[in-house]
Amino acid sequence: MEAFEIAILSVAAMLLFIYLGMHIAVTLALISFIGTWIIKGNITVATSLLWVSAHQTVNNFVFAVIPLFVLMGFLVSAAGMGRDAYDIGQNMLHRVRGGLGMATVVANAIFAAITGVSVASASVFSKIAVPEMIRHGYSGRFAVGTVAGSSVLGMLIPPSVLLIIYALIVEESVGDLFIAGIGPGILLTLVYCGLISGMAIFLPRMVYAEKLTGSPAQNDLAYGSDDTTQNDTSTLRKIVPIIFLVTLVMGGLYGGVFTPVEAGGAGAFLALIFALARRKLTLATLWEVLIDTSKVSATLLFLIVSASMYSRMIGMSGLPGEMAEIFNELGAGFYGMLALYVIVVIILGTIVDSVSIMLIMVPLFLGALKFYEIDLVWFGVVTVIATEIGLLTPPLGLCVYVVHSTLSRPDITLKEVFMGSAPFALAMLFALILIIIFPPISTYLVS
Amino acid sequence: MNILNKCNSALGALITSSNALASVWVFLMMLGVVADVLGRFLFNTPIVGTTEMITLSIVSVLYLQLAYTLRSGSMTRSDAAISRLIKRHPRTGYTLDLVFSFAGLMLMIAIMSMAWPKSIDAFENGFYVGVVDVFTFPDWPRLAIVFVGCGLTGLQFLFFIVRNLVSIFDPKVANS
Repeated sequence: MEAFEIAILSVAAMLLFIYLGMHIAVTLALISFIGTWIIKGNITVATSLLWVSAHQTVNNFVFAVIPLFVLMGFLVSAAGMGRDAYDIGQNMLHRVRGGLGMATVVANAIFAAITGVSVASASVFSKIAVPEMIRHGYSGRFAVGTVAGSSVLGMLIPPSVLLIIYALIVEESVGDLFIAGIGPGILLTLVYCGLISGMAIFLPRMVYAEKLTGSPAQNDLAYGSDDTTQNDTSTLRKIVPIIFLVTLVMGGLYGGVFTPVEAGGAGAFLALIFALARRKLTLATLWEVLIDTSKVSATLLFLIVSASMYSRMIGMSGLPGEMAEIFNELGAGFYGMLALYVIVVIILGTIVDSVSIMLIMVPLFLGALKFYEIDLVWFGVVTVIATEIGLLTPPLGLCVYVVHSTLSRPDITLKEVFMGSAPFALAMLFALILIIIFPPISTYLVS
Repeated sequence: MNILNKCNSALGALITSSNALASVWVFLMMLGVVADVLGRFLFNTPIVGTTEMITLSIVSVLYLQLAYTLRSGSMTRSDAAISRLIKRHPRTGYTLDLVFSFAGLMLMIAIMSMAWPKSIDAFENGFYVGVVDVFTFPDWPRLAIVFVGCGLTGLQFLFFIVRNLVSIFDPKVANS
């Protein structure tokens, strides 16, 4: 058998075992081990690959960005800044039709600018935004759909752990990837707001609860001036810490004052100070934050370790070159290949989490696509959006599961959440196509 | 059953200590980075050895926390298919889960079998990280942590294997 055929079999076996429920990191490491052994006909190469990956892959200063940005994300949540972001969004938009829905989107965008962990957004906003929207006459399905849909902004708007991991595996600058996420993040926020506004005006039945359809437009206005609306000074007090954090982290990175690791450390430290100053952080919550941080970091780092074995196995098999050749013969060219990539990533996103998809698919396709001299930074943003679409799609969209399990309300079934997020998944696809056609949306700001 | 429970809680205690160590370590990492930045801005001198210590912390936190991620169910897997299988055909489902845990155990043993001689090697030959006369730190503790972390994770996989075995022969136990 040719080396690349062994690689194809390995990838197929991996996907099968992952689907059946084998731990993803274990699957990647073991099958890459066996694949390398067969390709090289020599177990020593495979064992040394395993050992080098296990102790050397993440033994590099730059990998410290992962725990630091994860820590910052959890501290920001513990400080109650998700609630702040929501209040700011609500104050801005509560007088507009569909305003609470848009407020949820904007709040997610604001929160995304200070946290890099999307699961944090999904669980924070399920608790805050869903009850609020239902209380104001929105349908449960629309409310949960909005929360699930907008939580993916967290992975697109910097800082983002997903962009960090992409940067680390393709050896691009973390700072560039962050900057490349800004334009698409704003675009997606606007697309979502347009979608909500359009639905509220033209399809009110999809937005508001049945019993209130008589005067759907009134719902936002009628409840607009209740207890949840704050005066300007309180909004200011909420927005200042957020501006501080964004300026420190993104400003520091963009201005070249900080390396990504330092930006993460400084951001986490400032978030810690805010949390302490607001007396939101007891010793017990700090302990919880630290356990969550090291747990999430260890999970991600171990995936990266095993994926590095996989990407080396793919590299030595010559599979990416074969793929490029096949595509050339078919005359599919660059866009054909990119379309296939996006479709595969979206499909995988329905059964696997976004980090794993990225780690499995990027080494496979990047080798083939690099013959077209693509912009790696732009490709990273395309990858992130494509994986995030899968997170909203049945059967296993991860964001949908988080929203569903955080809420655990008997009246909101998993199916409701999927139905509610479907329009948002389509809106993402629309934004993705725009970014593919007009790369400057993402690359313009990157110097 | 009693013995199994006792082993489980002993293992749990070990894993929790390792988890606590990793969690404190993450916090120290953050403080280290901040101290380094402050040192550079305020006193114009970075703190010697921070980079080396933070670098070796990454691998350490990863392996100290690995067993806990497995035990707490955070180690990434797609569990929809297998939980459906366990519900409908418990024996098949538990057998499959056993096979997967066994695969995990094998991987841990494979890494350990290399981590042990490499740690000894690094210890005996005095391998270090850093620059001589500026800052050096021995490399063996990091490699030893890889060994210990994979050991704990392997034990947790072993526990899953035993639990699945019990469930295969007596599905009621698993449900209780």
